Amino acid sequence: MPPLVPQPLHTSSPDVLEDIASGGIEAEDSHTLEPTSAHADILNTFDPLAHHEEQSAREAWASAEGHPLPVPPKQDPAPRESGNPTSSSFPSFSSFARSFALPSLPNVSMSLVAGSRVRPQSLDTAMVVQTPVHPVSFAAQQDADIESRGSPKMDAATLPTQVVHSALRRNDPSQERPVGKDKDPQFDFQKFLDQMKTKSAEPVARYLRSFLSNFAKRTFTVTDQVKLINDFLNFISQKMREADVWKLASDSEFDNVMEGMEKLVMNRLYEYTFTPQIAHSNPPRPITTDDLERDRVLGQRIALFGWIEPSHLDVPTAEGSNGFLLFAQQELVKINHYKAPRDKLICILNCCKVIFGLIRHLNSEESADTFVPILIYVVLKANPEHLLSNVEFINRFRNPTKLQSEAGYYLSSLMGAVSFIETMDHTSLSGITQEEFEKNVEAAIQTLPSSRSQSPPLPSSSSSSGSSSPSVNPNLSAVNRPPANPIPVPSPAPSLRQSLHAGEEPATPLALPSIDARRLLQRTGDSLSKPLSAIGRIFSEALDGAEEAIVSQFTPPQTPATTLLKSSAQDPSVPQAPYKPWVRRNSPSPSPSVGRPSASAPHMPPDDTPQRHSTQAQTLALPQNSYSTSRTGTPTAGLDIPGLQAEIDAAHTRAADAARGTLIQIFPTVDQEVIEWVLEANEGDLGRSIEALLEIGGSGN
Amino acid sequence: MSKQLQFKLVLLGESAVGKSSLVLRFVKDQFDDYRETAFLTQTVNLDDGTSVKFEIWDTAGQERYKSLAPMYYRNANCAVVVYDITQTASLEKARNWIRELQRQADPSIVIALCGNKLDLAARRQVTQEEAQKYAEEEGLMWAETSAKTGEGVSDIFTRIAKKLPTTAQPASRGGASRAGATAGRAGVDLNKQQRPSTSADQCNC
Repeated sequence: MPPLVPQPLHTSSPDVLEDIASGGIEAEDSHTLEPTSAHADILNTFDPLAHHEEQSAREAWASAEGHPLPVPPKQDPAPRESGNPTSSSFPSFSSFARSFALPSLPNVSMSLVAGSRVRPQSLDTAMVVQTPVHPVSFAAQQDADIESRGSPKMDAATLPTQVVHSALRRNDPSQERPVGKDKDPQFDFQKFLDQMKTKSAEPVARYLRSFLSNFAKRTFTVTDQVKLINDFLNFISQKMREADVWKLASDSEFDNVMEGMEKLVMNRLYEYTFTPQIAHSNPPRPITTDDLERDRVLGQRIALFGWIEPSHLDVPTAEGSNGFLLFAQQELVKINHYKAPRDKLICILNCCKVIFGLIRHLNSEESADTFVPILIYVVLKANPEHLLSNVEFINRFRNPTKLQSEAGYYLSSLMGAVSFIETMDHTSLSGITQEEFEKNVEAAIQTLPSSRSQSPPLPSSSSSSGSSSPSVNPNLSAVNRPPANPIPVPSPAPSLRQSLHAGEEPATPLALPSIDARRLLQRTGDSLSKPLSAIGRIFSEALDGAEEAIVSQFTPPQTPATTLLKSSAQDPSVPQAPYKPWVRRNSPSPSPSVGRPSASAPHMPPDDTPQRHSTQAQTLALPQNSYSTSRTGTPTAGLDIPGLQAEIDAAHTRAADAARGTLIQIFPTVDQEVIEWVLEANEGDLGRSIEALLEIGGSGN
Repeated sequence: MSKQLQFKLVLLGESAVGKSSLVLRFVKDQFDDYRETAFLTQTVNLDDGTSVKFEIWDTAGQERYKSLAPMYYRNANCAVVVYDITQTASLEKARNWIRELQRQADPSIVIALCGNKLDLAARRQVTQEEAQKYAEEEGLMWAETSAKTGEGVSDIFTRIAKKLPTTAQPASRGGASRAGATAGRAGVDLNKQQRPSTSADQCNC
């Protein structure tokens, strides 16, 4: 029985490279369709083929235009459509197709196609967060050793059943690498996007654009959203099967293709489907779930338990276990970095995988008896923002067939951990009396509110202060609504995504990371996570800026830049709505200009500490500026790509340092030289290096 | 034309009754190392050519994590509730689990009561008669096993496999179909498997 090969999660950043869809959507009502010359510059700078591709794409388009879509209306109706209860409120696919108007699409889509080509590989992959602690550190190997990294992947062919086994097992690493490439196709989002750009996929792309734009036009209940998206994916899968580009794909390859389609659709619909995003949408959209309230309550509750020690949950500890725990927390927190349910689920898987690494490291029994308490501990310490929203989002929008098996097991475990935390009292813990428990909670309550307006006295409380302030006052919900920000999120994406909806976003995100870094620093003494995540943030943001810049030309209503221009020029009250939550949240802070984006002066979080500020401010100054610039009208010009490249290179170097540091922390007894050697042998892959060092350590045990 | 079925099996029982070891024995025919994880799969091939793949969901047995169990047995097709024949109290715990399953789990769930540590029969506290009688009353499958020696282990899983409905649809392939998308989530969704046959009958090791 050949071991399943842990397939790397080769997920291109969710934020990147989805112009196909967005371009189409926005094309219809966009008035800024012309690719700017700056655009072209970028294209040519990074992709010598870009121009050529654009040419041929235009030709392809021209010829396609000459021949009406090869999809006769008769074929259009989705099979499931007839029975679709929501079909009445939702235009049929055939009507999509018929009503599809592409006045200016040629320009847009071509420029977008070319645009997506533009991004240098390093940019595309740099943001991909895989197993490793720091996204950046693995950028280089994204393509080279995806399968060897042992990251979970989710295609049906190889549900990650084996990931845990093989990735962290003493005798497996040798087997897993070589087998991979040929056997099971791995998920390759970039490849999927490329395929989507082929001529034979054009009908599919049109259906997609039509669906997305129609989806965006109305408000649906969550239930309807789930149904619509599922119906669409079922429908489109058939159309895709008919396209030449996928006709010959094997089942498992095609499964990956559909994974790509799910990811693409959900990335594009993220702001309509992920509740915390809806909350920040502009124009405001109604929220039909109680996700945010549940997030708030859970976040608050977790904040009361910052004092919990591993021993309270019978979590065994040993030298180096802190490193694993931190690692696992970071993986979990990344859930907010990604948009697609698939990627979010992978974050959970990665987190659990790291926990099993710890269990192995501890030589404990790898059973649920050991696993569950550690997971609970990790959730308590990580306190990921919007955890319940994320879990619900996954449950709703992840392909149900992918929610079975191991992925389902870990998702269920996470939900179990949450429910444990929700009902936890002193009887749930070990070695603590009722009095002690209550005293600790009381102390946490005392600490949290005050930490909001000032430098938080406690690292743990600072992390969750904003969202979890237990004080029950009228504006509590307002205060807690965007806990998103106060809660440490090492990855830049959440804030960036918010930046989609509010012009001042770029500033807000900066706050969190610094808090986060400090918290991590204080708690674990891991001095390395700080610079690294800063770097990761930097160029992720810059990248997002780039992407947005490109997209923004076609998405006036959604991009901050446009919103800004519009709002300031035409209707000052317009921007207020989306900013409300921010304003309220920040009201106690000395930062009154929240709603006014400023490229030159990124807002620092009011509750951040000074020393961290300066560091962050310096580090982030450059990208921040280019980012902002790009948002205010000259998207590409402001983006310092060469500088970005240099930054990436530097980030890689620093990532390597960080990886070494992490390893030293986890394996304090292992000779440094050995660590470096292992790291090098694994091409800098932290996950694999840990695995390898466990091997070494394991043999010694 | 062999049928391939896939079922979710939830593993319940007090800590230290050896439920993890039991599964490890079943899946890997090993006992003495700790190389199991909380999620394993194993395929049983029945005489009629049907292959039944179990997805085995381990649960934390500690009392304090009892409230998490519903997350795990939701949509389970079968449950193995393990007790330790040398610990009377563990049978009591098993009874509690079974009551809960009967109340809360899918009504069609197949429950097997499993007395483990048969190799320690000398220290037996739970008689066969007592356990068997209880199992009969409740309509459960029952067996005694030894994860250590392997005795009875594959037997009980095979019996479960035979008792599970064989009418479940093998996966409608097509790769892309989200297999009853919304519906798949609600019911006993594990009867549909989406994996290509090449990997479907591999076990997990």
